[in-house]
Amino acid sequence: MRGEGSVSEYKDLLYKGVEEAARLGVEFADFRLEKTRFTAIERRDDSTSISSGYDYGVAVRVFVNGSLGFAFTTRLTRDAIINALRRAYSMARSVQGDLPKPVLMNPLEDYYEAPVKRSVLDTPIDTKVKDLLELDKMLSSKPEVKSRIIRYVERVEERHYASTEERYLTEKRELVYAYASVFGTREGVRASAHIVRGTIKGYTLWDKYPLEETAKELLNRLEVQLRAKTPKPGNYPVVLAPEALGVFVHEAFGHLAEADLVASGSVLRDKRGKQVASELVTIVDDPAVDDGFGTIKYDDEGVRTARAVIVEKGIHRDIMTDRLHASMFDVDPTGNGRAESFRYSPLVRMRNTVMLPGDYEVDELFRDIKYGYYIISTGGGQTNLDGSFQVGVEEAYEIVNGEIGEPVRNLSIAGNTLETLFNIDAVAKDFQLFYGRCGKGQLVYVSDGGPHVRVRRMTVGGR
Amino acid sequence: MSGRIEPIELAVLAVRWAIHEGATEAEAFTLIERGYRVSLRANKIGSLEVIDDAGIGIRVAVGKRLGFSYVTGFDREAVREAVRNAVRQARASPEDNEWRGLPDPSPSYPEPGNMYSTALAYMEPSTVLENAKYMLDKALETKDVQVVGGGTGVYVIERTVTNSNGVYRVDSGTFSFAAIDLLIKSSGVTTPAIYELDSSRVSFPSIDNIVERAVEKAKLCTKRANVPTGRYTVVLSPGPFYELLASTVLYSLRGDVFVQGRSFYGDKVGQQALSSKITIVDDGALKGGDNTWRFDGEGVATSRKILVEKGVVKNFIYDTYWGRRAGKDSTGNAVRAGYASKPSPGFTNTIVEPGDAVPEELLEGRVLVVYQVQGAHTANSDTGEYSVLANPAILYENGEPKGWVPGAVVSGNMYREVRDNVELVGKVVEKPYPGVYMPWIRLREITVASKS
Repeated sequence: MRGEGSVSEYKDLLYKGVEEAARLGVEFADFRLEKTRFTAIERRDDSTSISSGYDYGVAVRVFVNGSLGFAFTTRLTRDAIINALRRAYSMARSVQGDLPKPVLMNPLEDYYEAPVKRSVLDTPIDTKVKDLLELDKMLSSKPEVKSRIIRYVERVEERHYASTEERYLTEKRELVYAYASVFGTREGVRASAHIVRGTIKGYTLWDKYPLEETAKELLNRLEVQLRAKTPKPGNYPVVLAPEALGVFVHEAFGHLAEADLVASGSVLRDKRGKQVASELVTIVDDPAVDDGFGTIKYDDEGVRTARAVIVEKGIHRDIMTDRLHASMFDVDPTGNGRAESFRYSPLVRMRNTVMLPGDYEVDELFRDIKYGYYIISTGGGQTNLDGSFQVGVEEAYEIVNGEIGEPVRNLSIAGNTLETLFNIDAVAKDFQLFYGRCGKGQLVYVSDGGPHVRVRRMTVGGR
Repeated sequence: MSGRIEPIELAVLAVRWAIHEGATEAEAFTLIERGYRVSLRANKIGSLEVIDDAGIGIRVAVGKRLGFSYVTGFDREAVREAVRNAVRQARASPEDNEWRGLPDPSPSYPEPGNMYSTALAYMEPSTVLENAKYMLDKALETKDVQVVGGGTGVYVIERTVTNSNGVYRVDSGTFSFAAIDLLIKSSGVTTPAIYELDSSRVSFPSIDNIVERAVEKAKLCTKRANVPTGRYTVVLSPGPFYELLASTVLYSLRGDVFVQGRSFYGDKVGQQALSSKITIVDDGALKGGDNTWRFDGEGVATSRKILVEKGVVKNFIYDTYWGRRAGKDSTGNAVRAGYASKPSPGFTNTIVEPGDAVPEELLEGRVLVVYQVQGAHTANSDTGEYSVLANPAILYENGEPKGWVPGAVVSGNMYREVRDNVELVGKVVEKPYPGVYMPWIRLREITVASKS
């Protein structure tokens, strides 16, 4: 049951670690006790399997001598935690490092449970299996569909934090997501399509995205892929739909604004206060977006999360920081320190990275385009620090004389991020949020999104 | 507090508990991972980490209903609860008519060698740290180099598998790696970040080699070149070659993908579906291989298998479940991503056999050499279509590098190109990632879109 009884138990346990850290004379130490209950239901064609897991452990970080030591244990006992602390301390103390002192915060006690409409813990597994089987039945109804994969995942996350600043925080939330992919053939043409759904409001996924609508959208994506032709490579005007724009904002731009990458020489270094995009562009990393995968009250460093206004009307303002980098850049910390689990030390990670809507109607964006592309969904992307990005496109259409034309497939959009941002000449007034995971050596759950936008010119790879 | 118990003993108990709870079959997999890792970030030592992870994954069948549960640590009560969860989940699951049981013990197991060294197992954290510092200092010796990331690490890994058919296996190994991610930033020009890595099961990798390779590649990018959009002879270095192959060809060589009707090679078994210059091998028993073990994630003996021989598709990789669905034995390719995951068909040590082309032949004429790509994971596994950013792509003329071509987007169809466009396969095998052994490859008539 979700109660506060165990909270004081964990607080007492972590307090013992804090006491010992103070005794050792460290500049700063923090402890992160995580308990995650995980359930997954996977359906691959006609086979179903159910998995679950109970993941728990304590992470310790120690700052001493200009160095950061880190250790973790899978045992929730005083001895194991103290042992981990001592090992982290010994590692850090052995070398004179040159890390800046992390930003320190005030003492604080807080308990926060992200509101949930219907807990996954209150919904029996049979209901979840039944819903998934129903989705599968709808997907297999089309003769073109030769194979289906559906994966449902739920995580009940409990994080307890304690630090030598006398901060004691507990935060709980539920994270639910579903991934579905279909593979089909028709007259020798092979194609596949996928869809992702997410929520942090409990077992409400199929209220938010009804099963029939989800099946219909996915089958339509497959249909489009089966009909699509290959585009011509070159430079063209492009309209990005919210899903594709979200991936662009996260992948092409977001990483460049992570403080550790800025410190490493990302193209945003030395550009604070300068124009980096068209004045129609405002991009924020927001920890308070309703129902976002990146919606958290405190990050994994016990820092209260705050909005990072990365670009405001084209001008670069904030970067996303953790305690170390906030200190290094002499700014207030934004609360972007996140880790995949207690097994990892937090890094600067994104939360909900979105472009804010503008003033245009969506159909205005298409009007002046004689020939270009309309890009709806993607298969992810990858960025390099020099500001060059690639995003693999799944669903897209030609735009011919202002009208949406035939579908095209398997193109990518690539280019230089800042150049592309300067080329945005229209931002629509709609908005949508999407769900996924981000990798940077360790995975975290994030959201991204925004409105429809028009880019004057982008390099489109085709054949 | 429960007393300390050997992981294999706990695994045996877990299997017994499962049967007691009503499972008809059960399997337990334990993993312990201990070590030290030092990370580099933004020209400094980042964090100094102590790794100490342990857990158990339990798979059960109640008739033809399957369930899986895992828990971190080896606390008896927690493991007992995990066993109950696994059985409960199996009972809630619809029947899988294709289930034909857990594997039996293999008649024999290989002795690959070079999987464990005491030098690595007892390496002091200070040594790992010294190596990281040496790598950082060496990289920063070159003017204008910025170290973005990287790190060093050593690990000791112990794994066990036991099941209700009598599988009872224990294995241990060591592993170390060193990696660097650096770029050159001078007078407004930023080169792409270049990533180099090396790893070994028995000794610490050569830091000098890693840093030299990365710096040389970054230096190639300090001069620029331009090419118009068009078709080019493209030379893929081992890293990009592997990444593009992984999303397409290797995906289609997975047994589960084949059985589900999604493999591109599904109807081409025994046919010349790739260039005769290409031979692809998976070897879970490779001596000293980064992914070598005596047994796979289900306790089945590992082995070497030829998947593609001189372009002819011969075999797929299987675990027990998918092998039986295809009417074949497991090929010892049940792979788990840690104790938290169920086994499924996966590659162990992936080898593309070298050809006979020397570097001079690979670089003859006017070619674009692709050292890294962005977005290979977005390639379409079903059709082979890809469109990736080559970063960097370097223009070579008669063996001389002429400069970095920024923003070069390389597109095509991997299935078609490994069949029809292969000109040469290089003689030198490199290891761009742990467990991946690849040559260079020269492909003709590849579409490249450029900014100009």
